Amino acid sequence: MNPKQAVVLRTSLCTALLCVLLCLGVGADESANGLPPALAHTYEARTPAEQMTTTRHLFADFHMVDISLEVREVDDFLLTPALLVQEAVSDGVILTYPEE
Amino acid sequence: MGKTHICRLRLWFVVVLSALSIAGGIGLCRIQPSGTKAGLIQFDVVSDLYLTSGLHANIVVFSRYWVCQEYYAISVVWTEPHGRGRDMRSQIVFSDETGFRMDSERHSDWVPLNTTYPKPVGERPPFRWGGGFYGGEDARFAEAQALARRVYASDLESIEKPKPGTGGVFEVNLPARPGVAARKPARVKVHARDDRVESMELFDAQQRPLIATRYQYEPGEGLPRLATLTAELPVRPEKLPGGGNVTITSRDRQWTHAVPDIDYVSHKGGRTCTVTYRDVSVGDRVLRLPVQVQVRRNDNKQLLRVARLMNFHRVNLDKEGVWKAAKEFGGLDSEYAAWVRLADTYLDHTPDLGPLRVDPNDLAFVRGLIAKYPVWERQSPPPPDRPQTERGAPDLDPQVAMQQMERRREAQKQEQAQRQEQIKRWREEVARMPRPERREIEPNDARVIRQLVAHYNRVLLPLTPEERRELRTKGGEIHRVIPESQRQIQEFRDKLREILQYHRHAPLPEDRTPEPDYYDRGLIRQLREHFEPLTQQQDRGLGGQLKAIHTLTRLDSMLKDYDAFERRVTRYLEMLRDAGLNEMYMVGGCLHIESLVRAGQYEKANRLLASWADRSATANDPDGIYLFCGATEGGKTCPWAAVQVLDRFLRKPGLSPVQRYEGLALRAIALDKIDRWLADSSTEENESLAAQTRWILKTATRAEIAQRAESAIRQAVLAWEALGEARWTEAKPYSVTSMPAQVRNMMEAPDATRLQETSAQLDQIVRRRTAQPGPAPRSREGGRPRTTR
Repeated sequence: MNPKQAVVLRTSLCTALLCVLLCLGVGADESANGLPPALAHTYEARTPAEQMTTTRHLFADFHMVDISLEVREVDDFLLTPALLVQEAVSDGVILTYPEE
Repeated sequence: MGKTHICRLRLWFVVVLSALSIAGGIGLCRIQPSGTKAGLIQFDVVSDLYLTSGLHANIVVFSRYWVCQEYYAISVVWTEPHGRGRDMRSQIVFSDETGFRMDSERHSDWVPLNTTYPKPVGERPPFRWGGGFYGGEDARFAEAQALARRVYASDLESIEKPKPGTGGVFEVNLPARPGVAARKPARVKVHARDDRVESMELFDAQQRPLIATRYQYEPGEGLPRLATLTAELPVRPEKLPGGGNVTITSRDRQWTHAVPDIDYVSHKGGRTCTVTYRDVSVGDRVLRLPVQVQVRRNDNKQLLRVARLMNFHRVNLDKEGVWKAAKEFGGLDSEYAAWVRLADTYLDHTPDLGPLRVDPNDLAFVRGLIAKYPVWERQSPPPPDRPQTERGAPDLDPQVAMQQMERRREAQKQEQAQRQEQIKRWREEVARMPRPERREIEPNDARVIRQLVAHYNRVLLPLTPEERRELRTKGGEIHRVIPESQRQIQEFRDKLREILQYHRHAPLPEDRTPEPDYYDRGLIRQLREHFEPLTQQQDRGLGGQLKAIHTLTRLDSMLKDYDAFERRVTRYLEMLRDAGLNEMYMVGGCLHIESLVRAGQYEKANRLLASWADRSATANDPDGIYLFCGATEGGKTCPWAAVQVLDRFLRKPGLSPVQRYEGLALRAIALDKIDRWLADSSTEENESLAAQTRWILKTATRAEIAQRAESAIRQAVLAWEALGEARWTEAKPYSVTSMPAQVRNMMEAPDATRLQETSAQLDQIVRRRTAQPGPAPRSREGGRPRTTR
């Protein structure tokens, strides 16, 4: 190994080590901030538009949405027997399960 | 070369090419599992739907289908149990290559009346529904998505046929398909063996999995016969509509942002869908058809729905004939319409208070009326002291923000303690305040007050039925700002309402449900004769027969013929039992027992209760029982009936400690609820609660109920403590239903299981009874049930 190669190798190793330390530092910083996860996202938002999106996400009532999503699954399930039998009585269709 | 020879050569080419194409076709047709054209097939479906969101425990939908390669129709004839918002609102559906048509005379305020949505229907818009509302017409998007995901034998043409007895995994990019607007899967990964597909996975253009399907075949030689198809559907991304444009104004500038759609998910926990196939004789052919569909949550294997397909046969109808048959099967006939009118008049009576006899704009009169019945003015709590906690935007540095939050949390704790002391002193002062005497409102005044409240409501929310429908299509929410000019009306309306709540008022003659007159009694008897044979008419299917029985029980109630009512309910329960609808036996039987209780028929109710509870406890598994009994807190299940079932069920051997604890906890919750009813003087003001408490007190005294509740709570807590590690792993008291939406989102709190919610309810009861006020179980730790000793 000539001196030039040694310098390149040493520089590369140092750079790699620095990168690893930086990544660990960032990771530690992220995990140690201790803020509730969704609240942390609002702090991480860099632009007003991003902040608005995360804030809106924070205030949405997903439980109410879940109830209606369940009703949708039940309503759409009405089509499932029709679509399953239609596949079975249609030429050239591979039998699978429809969306619901 | 002669002309004849050239002709012969051409003929040979044609013959050879034809043979090759036929051979290719046969090859394609032999890839299994694939469909075979079979004309128009009619069949019935019974769908058992288990709802987990707490709306209702279990509903069963009965429907008839007509299906062929080109089109299909669905006609929903009945939903069990019926009424109280549980019915399947989509009634009649027809779909072919040109459009998706829907009709529902029974629910025309929810499903568009006889409307056709032309195809292609376009992309499914962001999900705008909430709180249990959903427009059934959106099912057209579900159909479009299903068709866009179909895989055809021609898609798998490029797969090299594996050597006999060996298998192979093949990946094929799926091309766009003519006639399918936006084909969803972009790639298919197939594991094939001989001429059969063993498993198949579909991926979209971003290589996200759409569905993974496994196929199992009947053992034996010859053409592979599909036995089960198991499909795993992943959690699905879902868009919720954004907030439109929002304008922000700061000191020196103003800017507008378009708030994008919210990213959310549906099908939480994933779904495992299992379809069972059998040979079915249809006309002169035997077809391999689906006979059962079962859907479970993928993560906890919870059963969500089961559809059973039956009574397959071929019919000769054109499209118009199918639509007509569907309308006839599920639509409303003149007898049913007459029954609806009678039920509205004699059972679901809405009092007509007549025209307003006073001038609603005579402010002096209204003020006088309000002054005549003074109510205790609700006292507002004293305003909190100016908070000492530092305010302002958190620092952008998360470390600094964390320290800020820590300081604020400490300061807030102190402020909260001071505030609690302040509120306690205020409550004591309020309790010492003199209150106006509660008195009886004069009947004429009560009528005028109710008329004025109704009139002011119309003025403040002047919605026509069309406007209500319009509002519904915008998402089911009514937001209306009361203009300044109507503030006085709103104030009057609120004060008059308070008078009705604070003072006592006897029911008016108009409130009494009218007795059927001579003409209507005759009509009721005629309708009984009309519906009686329909309870046994086979071509109506089980759903049609149950519909007839339900109609008859309501007609019996109109005539107060409770002997006939009891006989019919017994027959109804036998039909459910014979059909193996065990959960529905529980739900439907309980509702009919409640009807007898409301009518004061306690002896008949008790007779039915005993046999119903015995059978319910024997025929159902823990999941079915606990789903039903868990609905007592939301008011859907009668708690006394739940106690009877649980008493019997908990005597069963073989229950695991966790199952036993859950049953004991639900029993304790139901008994505590009854105990609270009996102790609350306002129970008598609620007709339904008053009837239930009178019924319960025929069997047990108030002291006995209190003692049973105390003992049941103690037993449940001991069972919880005996669970060991499972107390915190499976049965941790943890509730998200009582958690404000913002807190859930902020903490990204996971959903609670049914058992955790039950433990949280028990925890609250123990806290209340031991008079140790404290916060609800926290999302991360949860409270610990304490013994009442």
